[in-house]
Amino acid sequence: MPGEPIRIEGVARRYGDTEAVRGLDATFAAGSWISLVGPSGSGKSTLLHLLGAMDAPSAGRILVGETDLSALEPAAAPRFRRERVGFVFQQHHMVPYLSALENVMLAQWLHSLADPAEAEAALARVGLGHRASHLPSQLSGGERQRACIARALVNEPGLLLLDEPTGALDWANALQVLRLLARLHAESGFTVVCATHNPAVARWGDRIVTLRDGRIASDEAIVAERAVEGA
Amino acid sequence: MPRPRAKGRPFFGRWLRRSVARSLQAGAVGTASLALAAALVFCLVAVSGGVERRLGAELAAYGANLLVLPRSAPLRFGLGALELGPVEEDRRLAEADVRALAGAAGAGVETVAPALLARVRVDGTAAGAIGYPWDALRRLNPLWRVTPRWPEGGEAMAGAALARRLGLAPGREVEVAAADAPGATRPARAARVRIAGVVETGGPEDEDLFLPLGLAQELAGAPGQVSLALVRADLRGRTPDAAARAMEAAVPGAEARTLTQVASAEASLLAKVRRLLLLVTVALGAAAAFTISGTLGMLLLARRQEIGLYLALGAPPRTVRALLLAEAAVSGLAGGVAGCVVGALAAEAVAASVFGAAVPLGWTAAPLALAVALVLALGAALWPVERALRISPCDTLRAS
Repeated sequence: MPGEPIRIEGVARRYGDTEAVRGLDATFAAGSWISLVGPSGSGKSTLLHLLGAMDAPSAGRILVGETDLSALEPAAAPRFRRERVGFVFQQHHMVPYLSALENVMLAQWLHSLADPAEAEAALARVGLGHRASHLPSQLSGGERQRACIARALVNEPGLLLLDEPTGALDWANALQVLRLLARLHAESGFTVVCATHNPAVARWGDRIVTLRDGRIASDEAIVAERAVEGA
Repeated sequence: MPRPRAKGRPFFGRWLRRSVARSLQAGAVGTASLALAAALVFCLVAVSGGVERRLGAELAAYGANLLVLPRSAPLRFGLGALELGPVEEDRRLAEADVRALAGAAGAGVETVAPALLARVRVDGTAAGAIGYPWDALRRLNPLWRVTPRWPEGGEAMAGAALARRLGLAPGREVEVAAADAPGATRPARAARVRIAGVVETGGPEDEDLFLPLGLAQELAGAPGQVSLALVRADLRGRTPDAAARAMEAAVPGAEARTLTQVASAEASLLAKVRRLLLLVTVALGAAAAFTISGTLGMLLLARRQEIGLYLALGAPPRTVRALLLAEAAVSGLAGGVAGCVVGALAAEAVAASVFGAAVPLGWTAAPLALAVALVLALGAALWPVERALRISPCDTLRAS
């Protein structure tokens, strides 16, 4: 599936008296790689959750493709997530009692049907074909994160949301994960929005959007590290 | 638009199997609580059935609980300590109809003792006589004190007061003749009988002479006829009135009356036993439900990230709910099966210690225990599951 274009118009999210984000306006082109940076509490994760329809804005609207996330019915949000979004989290969350293959198959089944051959191929793409039957507890941190990437991309989403995807990895493993993501991005063309504290990770994007106190402090187009690496 | 997947297979069963295998280990305490609750239910149901059966059998020793007599007959008939009034002697029932009561539908008849009342002369002295079949009379009144023994065949038995009045000692032969009807021209029918024993009932029968039913009918000139029948009916699961109506339907021209004190005391005692056991079961079930709900709540709290992950991946809440409730149901069934085994052993031990003998285990105990375990598991899971589904995936995934 081609990448999803994103339009953010006057978005705010309040939790009681606290405004996590406010007055956000931005447009992300289809197939682009956006890095969200900023200190803790700046609103990076909140924006990521809003983009994934895991949360709804208090004001404004978010368009992913033609879909207005702020107008989604409660039952439509899970459908949007399982059909059009892939998530990769910092703590490489996996279902602990399912094997790597079954974790991927679960995402397939939530989308439509579970296809073991396709799931195995997805694991092979991230270099885990030989670890398919292993439980998460039998995988290293880097392997778990790659399995999560396979799970996130098996349904060919148009939008991949990354929340500190290398935060729990050493730099060697982090680099491996970033190269893998860059290769898959080049192959499939999905849009990436990646929240990170790490400037080195942020430089793998085409644009670095800096958030501060819930607002966009800067929005800078860069030459992506992945382009430098020739991924 | 999402890419549709043309081929593949359902995954829920595999997901559930893995999840159950894990939760049975992690939730062993919850499953053990369910097993305990199921064992208690099984034991209480099994023992309560046994208690009722044993209680019913022991209450049967206190005699008849219903009386069948000709319709509209004035009643003054003595039974043990109960003074019930006279019975008109010229209205009678067919003995064959009365004996057929044993098979009457809906009456629950256990023992029928047809009786014929007659006025006789014992060695020339007027007395009341009652003819009974000995086996039925003995089954109905096992607590009567008979000295030295119950009569057999053509022998007779004297009530204690009559024996004192006429000097009737066991072993003595007496002449029993039908009392002369006023103005009778034929000589009265008579027979010689041996007194086998003296009975002390504590009631008006102590004034009577007990004869074999056939002899009483012969003396009264009423072959194949009876004045009334004493009936012992099983009143578990039916009211005394319902049993009486079933008997009236079975015997033409008969009226059935409950011996109120006996029947209602019995029914009340059985109802109290049943109520007590039900209350104990409900109280224990409620305690088990709270324990299981608390345990499940803790287990689901420990699975917040997993549940948050399902929701973040786009699982509809109803799918996650189905998974968690199916886990609870399997846990309930596993606990129920284990509880049945433990409950059966416990019921045997309780029966042996309370009754000194095994009580038969009713077939209802196992399905009831399984159903209770299942309902407890699902009931206890509902609230924790709903609470778990209110978790925001943002919170659980961010918190990690």
